[in-house]
Amino acid sequence: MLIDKLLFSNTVPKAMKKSLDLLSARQNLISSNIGNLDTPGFKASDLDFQGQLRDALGSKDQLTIKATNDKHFGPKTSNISSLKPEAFEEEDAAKSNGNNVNVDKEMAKLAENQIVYNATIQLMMKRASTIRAAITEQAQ
Amino acid sequence: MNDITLSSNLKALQGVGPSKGLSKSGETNVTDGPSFADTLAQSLDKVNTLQEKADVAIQDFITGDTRNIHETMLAVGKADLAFRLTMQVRNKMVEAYQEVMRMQV
Repeated sequence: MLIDKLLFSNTVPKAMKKSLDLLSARQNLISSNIGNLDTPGFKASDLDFQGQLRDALGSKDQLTIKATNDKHFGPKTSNISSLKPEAFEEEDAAKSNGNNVNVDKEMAKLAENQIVYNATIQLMMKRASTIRAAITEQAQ
Repeated sequence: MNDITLSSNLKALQGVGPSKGLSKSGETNVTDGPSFADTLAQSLDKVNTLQEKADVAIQDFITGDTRNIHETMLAVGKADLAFRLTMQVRNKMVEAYQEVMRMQV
């Protein structure tokens, strides 16, 4: 869509959206870990997407190619939207019933995930409000 | 097609500066300082740099390179405020220009 091209062609909004998607997927995963606290044989799993997101955005230390046309090869924003990190099983020692959920760890992850999610939402709102100010020519 | 880029339009303003006829003494005061257009272009550049910095801060935050939520928020807030201030200055300038244009001679 034209409006997407004009306002959101930048990689940052796309990366933020992807990050929110993955954070909410991780939240589901952590909730399911906590929910299955007493399920025999259940293995806790987690999602680590930040490294992959960093690779998709291109590291700052190395030279990167800028794609200014859809026909260009090289890094594109589609790298970000096609990112699909796989969940992995945690390697904590299992209890006698084969379950390896560590409640304290899961609770800490839940809290951290929630904070990062809320912060990302706020950053998005702040960015959008700058654009809105530019459109309406009013500072509010 | 008309050239509507910022720099070409700012060039047209280069000549604008304090009028020599307005100096109190009769001597010609040539100011060596940057012109109004330069100052404007410079501050626009600064606002742009701030916004780029804010984007880098956001990227660092979502990729987990930094867990400093406050620094990210401050960078974005700074860029936002700088942009709003510049926009208000621009609004006031346009307003003043229109006021002068409406003046009966």
